[in-house]
Amino acid sequence: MPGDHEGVSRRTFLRIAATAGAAGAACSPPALPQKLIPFLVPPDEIIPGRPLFYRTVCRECPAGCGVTARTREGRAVKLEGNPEDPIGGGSLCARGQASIQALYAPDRLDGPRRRGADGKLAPIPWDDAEEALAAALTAAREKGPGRIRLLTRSEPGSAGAVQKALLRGLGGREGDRVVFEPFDAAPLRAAEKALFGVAQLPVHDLAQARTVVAFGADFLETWLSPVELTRQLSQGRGRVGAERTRLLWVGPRMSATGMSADRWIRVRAGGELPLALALLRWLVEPGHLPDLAPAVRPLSPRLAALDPTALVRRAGVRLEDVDALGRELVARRPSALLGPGVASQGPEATQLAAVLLLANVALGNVGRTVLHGLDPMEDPPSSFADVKALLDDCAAGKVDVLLVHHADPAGALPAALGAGGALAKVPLVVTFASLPDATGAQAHLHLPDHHTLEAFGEVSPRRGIVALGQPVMTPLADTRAAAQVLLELAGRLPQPATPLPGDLWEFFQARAEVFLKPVAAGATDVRPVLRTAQERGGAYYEAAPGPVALDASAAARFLAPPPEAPPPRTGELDLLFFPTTLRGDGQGPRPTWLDEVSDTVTTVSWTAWAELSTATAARLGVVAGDVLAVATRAGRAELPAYVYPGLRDDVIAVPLGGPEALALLPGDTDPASGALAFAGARATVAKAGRRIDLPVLEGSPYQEGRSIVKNVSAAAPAVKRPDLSARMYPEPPHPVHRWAMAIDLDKCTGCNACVVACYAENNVPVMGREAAVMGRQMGWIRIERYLGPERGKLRPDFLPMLCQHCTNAPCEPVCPVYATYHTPEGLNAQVYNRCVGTRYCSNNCPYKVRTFNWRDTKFVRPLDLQLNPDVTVRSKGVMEKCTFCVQRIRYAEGVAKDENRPVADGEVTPACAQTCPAKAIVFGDANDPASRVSRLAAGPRGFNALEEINTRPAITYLARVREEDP
Amino acid sequence: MSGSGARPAALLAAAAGALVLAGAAPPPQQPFKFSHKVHAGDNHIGCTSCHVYVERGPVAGVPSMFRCQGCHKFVKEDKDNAQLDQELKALRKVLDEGKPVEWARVHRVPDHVYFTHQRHVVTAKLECKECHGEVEKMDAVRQVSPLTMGWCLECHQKPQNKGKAPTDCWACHK
Repeated sequence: MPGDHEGVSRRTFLRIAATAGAAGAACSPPALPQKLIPFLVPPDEIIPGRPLFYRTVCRECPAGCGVTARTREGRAVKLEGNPEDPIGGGSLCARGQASIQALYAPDRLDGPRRRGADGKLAPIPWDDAEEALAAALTAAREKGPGRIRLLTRSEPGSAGAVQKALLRGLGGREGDRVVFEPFDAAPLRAAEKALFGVAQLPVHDLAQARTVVAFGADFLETWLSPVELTRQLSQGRGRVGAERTRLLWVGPRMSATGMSADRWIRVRAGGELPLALALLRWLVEPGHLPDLAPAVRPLSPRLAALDPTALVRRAGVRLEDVDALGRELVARRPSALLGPGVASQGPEATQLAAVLLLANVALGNVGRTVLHGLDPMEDPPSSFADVKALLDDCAAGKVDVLLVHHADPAGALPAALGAGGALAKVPLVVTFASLPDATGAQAHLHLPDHHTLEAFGEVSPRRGIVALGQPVMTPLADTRAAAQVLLELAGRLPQPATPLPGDLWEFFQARAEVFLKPVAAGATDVRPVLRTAQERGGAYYEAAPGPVALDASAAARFLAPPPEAPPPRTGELDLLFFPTTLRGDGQGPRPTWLDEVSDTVTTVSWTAWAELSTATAARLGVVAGDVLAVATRAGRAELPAYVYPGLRDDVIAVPLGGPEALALLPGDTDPASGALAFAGARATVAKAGRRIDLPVLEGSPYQEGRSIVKNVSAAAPAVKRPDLSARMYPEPPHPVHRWAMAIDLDKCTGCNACVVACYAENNVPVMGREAAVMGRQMGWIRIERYLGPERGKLRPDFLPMLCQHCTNAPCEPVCPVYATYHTPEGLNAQVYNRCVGTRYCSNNCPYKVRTFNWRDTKFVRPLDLQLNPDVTVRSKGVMEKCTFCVQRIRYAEGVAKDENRPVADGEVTPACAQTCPAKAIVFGDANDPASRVSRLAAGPRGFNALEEINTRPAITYLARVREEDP
Repeated sequence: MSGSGARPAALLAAAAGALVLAGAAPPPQQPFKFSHKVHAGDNHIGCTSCHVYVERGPVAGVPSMFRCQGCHKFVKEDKDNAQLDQELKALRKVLDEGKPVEWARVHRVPDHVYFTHQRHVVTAKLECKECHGEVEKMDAVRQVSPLTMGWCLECHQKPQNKGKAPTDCWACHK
């Protein structure tokens, strides 16, 4: 008893101990900074301790989502979607969220480097670097055209225009500038060109579609514009009955997109095309589609000549499947047929794209869900064949200078192509990459570009949208905008053919005169217009889709039955390469958040893997973690196995975005478009004789009959909920607010954007592979993916799992030091400086959402600059968990208090809800019966996780809708 | 339990020295002699004239060099007051070099605490001196309040502040 100790109370004792501790701590090295360093001249817009927002644009993929960057004291700390941007609609995907990590990457190049004779990179002043490059360019130009080449990502804006102008000035030919986008939908563009005469990409409006059929197009992950397409699909989700948008997935593997589908049509590898042909044939058959579009009628005889039985045999489906699919599409118009995606991009990809477009025409989808005339076609990627030709020229010694701008051919092209060897034959490889990548390892001159968040620029991802990038902070290192370097180079050349301004800003402003015309409305001075547009994040104006006319004779040549694939040799499996959001296309180093976060389908992190179906794995005697030796005619790779029931038995699937897939890719092309054929390979699989601990998040992939995730259907539209009216104890009062969340599982696609957003917002540490194996990832929210309700039954569900902020929280009463408690606003709080790390709370949490700091995390400089100053960095021995972003609640409450008004519904948005591309997460005040969250939670689909244990969570899940009875 | 009784008492005695030291901590050594007494006291310059963010944000802010220069660029040499002239020389040197002054920090709350000046100064209408003491009488500013949680709560728990000053952990802890 404290009283025994001669009147020294526990508190007094602790206070003395703390004082003594503080005196000791003063000598320890990691003392907090004790200096106050004032501004020289204070920036007008910065108030220390307050966030400042800038609008810019995401350049992680060609979609071009708008970004709102939150800065604190002059440094970017968090990226969010720009709600005014029509593409992202206020959301970012996991990659977009993680792009800020590249800004603060510890291995970022801090200035120009030149490779010396010893092969080592050494710093060089910018002037010398540019002078040396200018001299090399001049010399190469003397030797005739084609000696100078540029390999770039798609740059539909100033950066691209500068590149083109410089190359022209150097006497370059049209093809000397090669645009490299590994996941470009080139076959779709080629099919558009053939059928409609314009090489454009269609824009989709899936919000209008009643049924969406994806032929290997992972439009919820990487295809075309995933954030936008996810939002569009989700607009038709979250309701029961005929009005709900249905999604059908066609492919040999159930991808993450396929997991959100209502039906999986499991065609064999390469079966998408025969199925599409059989479907098109069915549609034009008399009596099936009464108002068949006249444009496709002339194709009927050609289609009728096709043998449907042969087609479905090739596709690996039954005739009834085609019949059912056709009938659904006829009944549920408009629909949208999407494809091909990377996973279905084989040697006949253009034909598949064309057949799907024809089916869209036949069904009247074109002009309603599939829109044309919106692709600005400003900087379309070159074909894979062009990239290959460039590498061939490099290998043949025909290239003297290769400029590489945000492209990593050595990291994203099939190893069989020998990009590395080809680059080695170029006397001068110049890279503008700001991070060390596979191509940079061979470059002679590194001229690091700014990060997107440090530079001006604009991109036109679509007609009607000019997304404007602007620096949100001063550059961290001695980097220069690549376009600025090119302009400076132009100034150093002896005879510039086209006069270019020496400054990128001038160049940009001159262009702004043109691209702002649609919004300038005859203004004489475009500068205020530009300023307004920059504040909004872009110039947005109405651009109406245009009509297209089908060239029926051109269409006819796409109707030939695909050549029969040779039967697999013994032991051979079809090899399926698939992209994932987190792994990306493999260019450049991956931000660590994307490695740390678990893959949606497999829950694997930190490694590539190979998927085998349950039956195939059993046949080969393989269990998860066994290392497989996979070999194709191109090469071999060793990959740990993951046993996945969502895969055909005749297929092995390997994710793209790493050297393993590149080693296996044969590098064939789709001849009609020149695109790389990802699909169509075969592989032999053998056990390599060793196994690894596979870092997987899942315990069991199944719900094991516990019915954790509820489903509803049209027949049973309400979740049966237990009667929890009995109370043993009084409930904690929530006098003002009771913060609550609703998560619509019918909209959630498991995309992991929320998970990465949470890492960024809440200073969640990255633990690494070993910790992942031990289940010690620190994420405050995770996507729980269940493959099915019970073992062996494939019916996937996603359950984003985060602290449920229970009213009767099991964690609270077991904390011996009152470090976790219930706040008056309903939050289950964790007070870090009180926590002594007993972990009782975690043991008593039925949701397992509390994570323990087993070690101190080092945020290696400058990664620490990304840390959110409003959130404590936790230290070793402390428990942590989701706070419902209490700092954002506090901020919104503060703003409301300053304005002397109550907090409005929707004003508080945690990071997960903010970024959700599907808008599946809604946050608000449960005390307000009119709030969105209250209304959603009261709906028939609402249920709580593990409701029967009466924790009374603040999170209400809205059950996913199934076509059959759950 | 009789034997263990002596240990906390011994600890108490051992720590007492540290406690006394902390209470009477002298003002930290500043890079040059800046007197709040001269500025805020003798010349009646209001606190917010230099600590400009105090009513707008969590951080009061130290005045920028630009703000110092707003007055001090006219203060050239002062033959009549050799001592003052000497002191200003140090400031002029920093200004000439275009560098900020690296002040030694006097007040700080731990990293896991969220504190906002604005809420206390604007909403609660507290005077600066209620926490910082009579700075206008100090040549070198020292910390007069302990800035401990208990000290914060002394005020937050006063009956007249009920419903206005929160006492929930997460009001201040982040």
